[in-house]
Amino acid sequence: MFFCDKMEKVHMTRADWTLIFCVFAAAAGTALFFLQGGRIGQERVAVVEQDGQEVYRLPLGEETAVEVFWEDGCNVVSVDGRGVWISYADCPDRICVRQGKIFGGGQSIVCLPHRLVVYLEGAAGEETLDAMTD
Amino acid sequence: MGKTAVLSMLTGFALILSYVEAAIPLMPQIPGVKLGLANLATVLCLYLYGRREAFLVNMARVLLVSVLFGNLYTAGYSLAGALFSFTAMVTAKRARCFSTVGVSVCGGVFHNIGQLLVAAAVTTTLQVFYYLPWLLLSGGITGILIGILAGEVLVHVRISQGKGSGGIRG
Repeated sequence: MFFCDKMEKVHMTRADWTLIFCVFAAAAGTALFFLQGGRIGQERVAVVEQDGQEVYRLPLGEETAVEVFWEDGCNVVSVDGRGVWISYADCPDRICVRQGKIFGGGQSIVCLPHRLVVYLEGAAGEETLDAMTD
Repeated sequence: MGKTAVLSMLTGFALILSYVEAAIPLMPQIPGVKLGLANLATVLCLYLYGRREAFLVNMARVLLVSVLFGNLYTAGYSLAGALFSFTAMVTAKRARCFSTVGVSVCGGVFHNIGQLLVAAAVTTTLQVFYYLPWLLLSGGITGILIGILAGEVLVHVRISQGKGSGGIRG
């Protein structure tokens, strides 16, 4: 390079280039798969229970909402790709709405007046990893 | 210089590189995933001496790094990564169609794949594979750089040994 006359370049072979191409293609392919919404492992599901009875199972993914009625009251349970939250409630205190979104890891949302419990089921990679590194 | 002396120096070199890369956290979520700079010492040893010597240097490095900078937990990850990458590199070198670049890319990529497999087994979640694209990319890039570097070093070592520069392949 700067001190050796006999400098020779590393001869990269055709197999080298093929291998490098394959590795980067695999990286791009898997990245595209995940970006397109490809999922691996167990799907996460938001479970809605009322008075001890399971009334809804909502898979996380597309943003959706369901209305859950109790006597003359009502809650709206919403899910998206990351978690579940109660977006509307006509109970007096609205503690459930103020709790915001939960992402799993043993969290749950409770609306006592309407006897409603919402929690997440299924493997949650991030929570497990956090618990591990702690 | 005696073989033992050179092997010890290579181990020391690997330790320094391990220390440097420990200061650059790549994926804080997964312990033990790192750039793979220490692979340079392994590649050099593999080409200068052979499988047996490279394996010894590699194992000495994993043991010492775990004792010095890590704990038993990271030792498992390092060991898995080291064994995967070492097997891949020996196989690639025996194929005789790769230069140091191809061999080192194999090592880098399989190091990361090995650690992902261990992480998946320990956490019993497949979600760790979401890191796969990122790890393939980083393993590939450091692999290329380490391979070029190792190739250059070998050329100079062989010139200084008076053996000419032929036979970098295989």
